[in-house]
This record gives sequence, structure tokens and C-alpha cells, in this order.
Amino acid sequence: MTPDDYLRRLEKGLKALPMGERVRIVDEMRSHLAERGGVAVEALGPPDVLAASFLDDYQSARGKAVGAGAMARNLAVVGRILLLIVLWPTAFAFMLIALAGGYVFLAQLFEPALGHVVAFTDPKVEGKSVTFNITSETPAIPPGVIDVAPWKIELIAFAVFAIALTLGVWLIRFTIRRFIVRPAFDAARAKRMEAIHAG
Amino acid sequence: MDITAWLIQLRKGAAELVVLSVLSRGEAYGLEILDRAQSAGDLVAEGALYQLLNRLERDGKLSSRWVIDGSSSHPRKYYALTTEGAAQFAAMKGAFADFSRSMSAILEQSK
Repeated sequence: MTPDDYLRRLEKGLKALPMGERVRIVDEMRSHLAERGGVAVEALGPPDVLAASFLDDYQSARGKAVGAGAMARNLAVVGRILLLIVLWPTAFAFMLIALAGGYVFLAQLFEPALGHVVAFTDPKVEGKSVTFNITSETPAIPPGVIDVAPWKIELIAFAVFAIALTLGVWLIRFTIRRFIVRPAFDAARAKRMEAIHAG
Repeated sequence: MDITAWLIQLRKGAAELVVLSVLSRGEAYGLEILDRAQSAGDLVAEGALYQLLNRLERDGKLSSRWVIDGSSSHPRKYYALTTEGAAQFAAMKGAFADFSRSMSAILEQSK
């Protein structure tokens, strides 16, 4: 591996750090490699391991800033449980909404294969109200009501699908990283520190 | 019996004291710190040094500045002890001296 390759892989491994911190570390390692040459590439150890050690330190420092000690740790555990209780159902709800939006969108596109979706407003009803109907037969629009144009339904349905899906997927990824990947990361952390200090 | 793992732990524990000790003699950049530390023995792993320097600087024990001088084709990051770092070094040096005396005492009693 050339020093340039090393720095590229190191920088990639440090992606999770704020840009300022990342640039500082990479600049310093660039200076070190410029002076030491190719010998340093092996002496420094694998770039992903070195990057992980910087990340570990940074995350430890953030943990200390938020609050260390038994009380803070206990509160962090309670907080995590509450977060899990709230986040998973929320993510599930978003996915259901996305499913509904997707169904309505596709139903409009492939009518009547997936049923009929109509929406209409009745001027006789006080205040604005929109009634939705999903039927398997050609819908009967009551006389005197205003049929909401199908393209509007498609547009809204697609927007609902896209937004709900984005939020749902983001929440699921966040909870997996926080509650599954992070504990595994912590468990591997000690091994990485050993590797770094072994030289 | 393989004592490598134990030596790694020993080196890990002493690394901070080694770096503070080197810098107590004056400002130095990364490679210089490494050379000075390794002149006394295999005390600091090259891969561990920069992570340690980064942490000590973040904790306020070290200050740093980039220097571009004519003797080098690239800039160098020089580190120096802060007041807090100097106090930390003094405390660690004293604690290590006590520890070292205790260890010597216990080892002298062994067969």
C-alpha cells in the first residue's frame, strides 16, 4: 500500500468524524508519512484500525462530555429503552403510511386492477371535508359533489409514500445502528485498542 | 509462557507518561516524539502515538502549532505541554516513582 492509498483509506474510515477533526488527523498523518515514507505504512497498522481508534476516542470524549458515572449510565439505559419503545412503533407506523400511500398511487395508475380510489368534496357539508373511497367496482359519485382530480390524488399519494418511506427507513437504520451495531462496536473496541498498542 | 499480551497492557498504561515526559523537555513534533521515546526502548507504538496526541490535545494537556520551516518539504505539527499537562506530568511522575519503588521492593523479596 502506498502512503497515498493509506491516507485515502484512513480518511474514508474517519468519515463519521466532524470535518475539522478529520482534516486535522489526515493532515498530520500526511506529514508523518511524508517524512517516514513507506516504512510507516506498516508500522502504523491497518488504516481502518487506526481510523477506528480515533473514532473510539472521539466517541469516548463525547460520552464524557454528556456525563459519566453510574447515574448518567443508568439514565442512558432508561433513555435507550424509552427510545426503543417509541422509535420502533413510529418507524412501523411510517412504513404502514408509506404502504397506504403507495397503494393509492398504484391504484390510480393501474385502475381498475387494484380497485378504484376516489376522493370528493361535498359543498353541502359545512366546512371543507374530503371523502375517500376505495372500491372494487366503478364508484358512484354522488350528484352535486366535486370529484377531486385523479392527478391530485396521485400526487398526494406519491408524496405521502415518499416522505413516509424515507422517514421510516431512516428510523429503522438509526435504531439498528444505535441498538445493534453500537453494542457490537463496543465489544470489538477493546480488540482494536490491543492491536494499535501492540505496534 | 507468552507475555506479549501483558507487555502490551504495560505499554498502554505507560504511553501517556512517556509522551508527557518527552514533551517536558521541550516542544516536539510527532516523529520526533516517537524517536525520543523509542531511543529509551520500545515504549510507544507508532500507531498509538497520534491517537494519544490527539486525545491529550483535546483534553487540554497539550497545545499544538503547525510549522513550515526550510529544513522540511512539508509542514510539521509541533506539540508542547500546557500548564495542565505539566501538572499532570508532575503528578504522574511522582505516582510512577512510588509504584516503581513498591514493585522493586516486592521483586527483591521474591526468589
